Amino acid sequence: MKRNIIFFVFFLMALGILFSLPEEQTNVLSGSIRDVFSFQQSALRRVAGWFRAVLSDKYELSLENRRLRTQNAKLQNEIRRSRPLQEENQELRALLKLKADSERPLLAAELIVRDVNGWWHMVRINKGSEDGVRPDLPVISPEGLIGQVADVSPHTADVMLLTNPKLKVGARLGRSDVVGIVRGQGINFQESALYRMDFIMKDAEVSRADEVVTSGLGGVYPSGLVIGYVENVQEDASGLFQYAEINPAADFKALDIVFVVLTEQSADPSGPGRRSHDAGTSRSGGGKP
Amino acid sequence: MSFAVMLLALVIGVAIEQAAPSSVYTGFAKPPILICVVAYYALNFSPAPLSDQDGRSGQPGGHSTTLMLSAAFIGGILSDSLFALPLGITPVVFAAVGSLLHHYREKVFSGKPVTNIVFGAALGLIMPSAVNILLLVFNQSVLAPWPSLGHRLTGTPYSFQPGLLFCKLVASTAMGAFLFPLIYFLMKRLELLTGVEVLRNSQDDIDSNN
Repeated sequence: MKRNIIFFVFFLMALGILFSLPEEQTNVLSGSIRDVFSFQQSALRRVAGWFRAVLSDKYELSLENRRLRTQNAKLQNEIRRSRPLQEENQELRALLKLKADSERPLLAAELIVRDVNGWWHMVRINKGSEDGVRPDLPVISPEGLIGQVADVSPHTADVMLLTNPKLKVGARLGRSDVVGIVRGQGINFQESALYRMDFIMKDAEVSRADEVVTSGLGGVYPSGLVIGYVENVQEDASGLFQYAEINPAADFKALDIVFVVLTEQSADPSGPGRRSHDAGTSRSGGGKP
Repeated sequence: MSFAVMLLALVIGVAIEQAAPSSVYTGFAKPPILICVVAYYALNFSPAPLSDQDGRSGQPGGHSTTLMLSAAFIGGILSDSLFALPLGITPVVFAAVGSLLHHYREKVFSGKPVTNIVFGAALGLIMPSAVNILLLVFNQSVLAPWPSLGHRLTGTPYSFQPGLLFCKLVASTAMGAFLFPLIYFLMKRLELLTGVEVLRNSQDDIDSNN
């Protein structure tokens, strides 16, 4: 009995220490555990994928498909960057003395856990701080923006999906300068996501199927990343603004390979972004708004 | 040996729990495997051995509080780390549930399949409910007087969605009812295979004879 009481007190003390540890220390612990299990998760996904492919006799085709999808995503990014409008945009940016950030390199990553915890929408990828991933970096699929990096460990990163109602992105309509803020609305029972673009000026002209892209304001997301397409527009409760329901460009059910949009610093192995995470793992307050 | 078996069970449990698929229809609930393992260590006990020829019974045997709390702590840390929850939430829930079960195990737990199903359902219901309450409480900044503590725990992106939570509770209850009898059986077999069960019973006999 006495032994049990002593251990119970010891347990409470351990919990107390755990709660009072600084965030950096707890992230080192949880990041290490995530890294250990990431190899098992990667292996499980590979084995499951291999079995699926072999059973359906499409193994070679699936490898080819994966290679082509990666290539396709990179090419789409190239096309997006080479649009003539982009030049005009850059000129305007130069006039506004904003940093042109459309040249950021992409890092391909594979999903190793599709639904991390069931409490908020998050996926885990197999690239971490060792590969230049840092908190707050945007993550895209070949179709469009899917979210931003929240937690990073040396070999994995957790990506907060844009379906999460607490994640907000500065956005504008692709064909005009109408700006607003896009927020996730969760996932409905058809397992399809929906976003909402708030604070659109009341007199702004918004049409169905208008492309919604990141505005680049706020500095987290580079401008021009496709978010989705306008489904319908309504006046908000205050009567001062409009809001639009947005169909996401990305297909969240089919996520397999995603791309982290790196900064020049994080892409450079000797850059400061890399150095700052060599000591362990990082979690961004901004990543969890 | 008991500790090694417990660690093995927790590691396998968390790996399966993380790899398990989830759906919007189940409220993205994961199978409550770890809480079932902790509950096994809280509830499992041997009937009281006869201590002498009069037939007076000695102390019933079973897993110690130490082992149960260790399972709660290690299982909780593994769970929080892999499921991206603020570190420390799950050990609290595991320990509270485990201690309660451990305290009343001789009065309420028979080890029969029906009891196991009822306990499994209760565990499946309690676990997400408790985590939901803790996440909501932390998100309300009740920890403001302790800024260093509050910063980490209030920064979660959890947003309350009643419909999704209802689905999660129903699914988790059903999965708990199905899984706990299975995990209880598997854990018993594992302990028998590794000799832990035999060793513990022998130790109980020695203790009661002394």
